[in-house]
Amino acid sequence: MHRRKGGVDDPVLNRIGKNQLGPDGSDRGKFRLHQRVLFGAFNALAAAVCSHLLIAIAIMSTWNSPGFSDFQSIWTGSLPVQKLFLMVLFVMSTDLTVFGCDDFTFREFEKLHAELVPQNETWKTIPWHTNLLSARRAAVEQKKLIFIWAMDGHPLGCT
Amino acid sequence: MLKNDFIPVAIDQWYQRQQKDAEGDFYRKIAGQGPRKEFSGTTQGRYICSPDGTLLGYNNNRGPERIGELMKSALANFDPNSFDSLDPLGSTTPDPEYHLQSPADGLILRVHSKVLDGYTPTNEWTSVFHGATGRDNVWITAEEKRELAQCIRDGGDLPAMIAHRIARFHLVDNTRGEPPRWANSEIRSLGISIDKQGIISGKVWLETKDGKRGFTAQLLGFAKAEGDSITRFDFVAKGDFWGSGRYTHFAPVGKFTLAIDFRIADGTDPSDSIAPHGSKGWVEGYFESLK
Repeated sequence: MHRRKGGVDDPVLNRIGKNQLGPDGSDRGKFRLHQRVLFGAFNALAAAVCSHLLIAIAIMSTWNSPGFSDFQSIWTGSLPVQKLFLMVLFVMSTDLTVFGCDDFTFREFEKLHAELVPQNETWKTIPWHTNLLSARRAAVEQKKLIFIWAMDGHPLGCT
Repeated sequence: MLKNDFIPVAIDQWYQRQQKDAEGDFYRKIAGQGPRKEFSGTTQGRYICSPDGTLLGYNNNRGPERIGELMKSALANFDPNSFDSLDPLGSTTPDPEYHLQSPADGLILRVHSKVLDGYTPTNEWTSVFHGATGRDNVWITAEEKRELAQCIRDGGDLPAMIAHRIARFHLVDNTRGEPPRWANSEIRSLGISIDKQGIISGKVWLETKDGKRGFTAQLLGFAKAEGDSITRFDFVAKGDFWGSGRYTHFAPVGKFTLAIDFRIADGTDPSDSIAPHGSKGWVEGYFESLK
């Protein structure tokens, strides 16, 4: 490992890569993928159960309060299938909150890997030469003018 | 019009204006007829010339209307039969200092970068950069490629020279212009590894001494090797970037998300033959990235 000063105990790095650290706080003995998935799933499940429990307690404690009458009437007046739908919505919304973290995931890697390379760019359809002499030879053969796009940084590469 | 009536050529004029060979002579002949005749500084712009080097138009405006007018005007003043016998161009041996070739039997990675958030609406001039994609190539030598293939097969830390090259020269924000590179002393932390399943993971912290520019990122991806042949080396670095360089002004204020994609180049993209920006001016320093 070619690590400079700072190391993985730096707060900045812990913020961005905490889930990849081993139990001792170092990245030696780094978790394998399946361990990370299992650990993440357990954490998510535990968090989901806790959050649902807290929200249920909050609902029960305010059930008879005047401010809750609208929701109460909707709930008591709805059919069982509508109640089920509301419950599914409730679970989905809280689970999305639980799973929505800013860590870099494999799903996000796949998304970025597909999206970061622009598709169907017009400039790529131009038969660019990258050498002036080859362009000059082609211009002589085809009796055409030379169009030179000269920049700081290569137009086809950097920028 | 560009495809049908012109021979288009794209260059980083930093090379041609200094090259001591026929290509450099030809470029200086053309650019010397324009407004930027001092070859100690930039001569960037769009030039239109006849094959004998006679300049028929120049501008450094990127507006499509202005470029279109330039092209039409040059075509109107062009006689295709005016250059039946061309002057010889002297030595055609390329100046090795400025004519960089990718390593024989090595590996080229395409790099694409993009700022994912942080921009606020600005004027037309600067807003074109907000959705811009930065491009570059990573060059890996044949020997390094063999080391990398072994690392992929056996698992372990990415070879230090490759890891440092990627960090110093390619984990940069090149979406608005030529970016500053990272010095080795600005690598605060770097760890990239590949496990036996071919999963690339890592994290990096780069920051200047004054803290005005930095990048903290995670890396994730996949690699595959069959013998010494590397068939997959795909990864993305994503994290918080802050600051800008001399030629990359108008960055978002504060920290913003920068994502940089790496994949093997297969030679089908016109950009695949372009030398890495980090090799500009000191190719030895690019390859000796640990120094």
